[in-house]
Amino acid sequence: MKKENDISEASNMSIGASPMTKEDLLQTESVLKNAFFKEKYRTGLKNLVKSDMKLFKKQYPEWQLKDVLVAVIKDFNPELPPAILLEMTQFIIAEWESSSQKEVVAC
Amino acid sequence: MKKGKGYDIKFNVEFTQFRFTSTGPKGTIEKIIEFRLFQKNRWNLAFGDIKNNDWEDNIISDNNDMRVVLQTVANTVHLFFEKHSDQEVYIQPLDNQRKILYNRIFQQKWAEIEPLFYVKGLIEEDVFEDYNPKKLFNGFLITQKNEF
Repeated sequence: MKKENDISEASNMSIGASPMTKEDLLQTESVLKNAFFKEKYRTGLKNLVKSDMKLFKKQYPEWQLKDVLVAVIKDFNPELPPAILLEMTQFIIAEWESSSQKEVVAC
Repeated sequence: MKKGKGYDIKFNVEFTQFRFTSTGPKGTIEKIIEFRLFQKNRWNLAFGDIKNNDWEDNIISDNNDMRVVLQTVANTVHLFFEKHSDQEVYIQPLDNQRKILYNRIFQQKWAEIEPLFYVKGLIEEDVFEDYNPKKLFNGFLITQKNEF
């Protein structure tokens, strides 16, 4: 294990990687304070949620909206701020309604 | 992409936050890269410029060093997987310009990427399929291949 770590450290030094100082870490945390609210994070999460919803629908066709909500939300990052959690919940409901309407039209 | 010479990187202990300085005709630009958990074992790869104690991921710096910046980002992906080998990293392009750029990078570097990582591409917003360099994808889900 020690040998593996040594190899990894040597490899990381060769790409010019070094640990942040305490000051760097504090500043980085401050810079990233809005990371959950960035469009890229929210759009990415929505795309993953849509993909999961599609899989659930295929695996468990009998599931209702509440089952899907529970299954999707339980896997979210526990640090997700309430505002983003609310946005995602609303998104899941809207997606569910939209896909249900499409199924009705298709029938 | 393999590990290679990029900009010097500073990292946190968890290998989820990285910083480096881009140098070019526009001067020095402080950059940040972050891997943040979405759900289960899936992480967002975010990248941007540090500005006014915040960061912007929707600007194009145009500092004439894209190749070095991309290599630096690739190096952080390797570092992330060193500590989180069973996790997945999702790359979401923010706009059409970046979607085309990211697809081009995956196409051009596929011979280097393919032996190291499993890549799934997002099509039609909600379906992932195995990456195919001949297709255009809306997002990329990456897992490290087992070394053994």
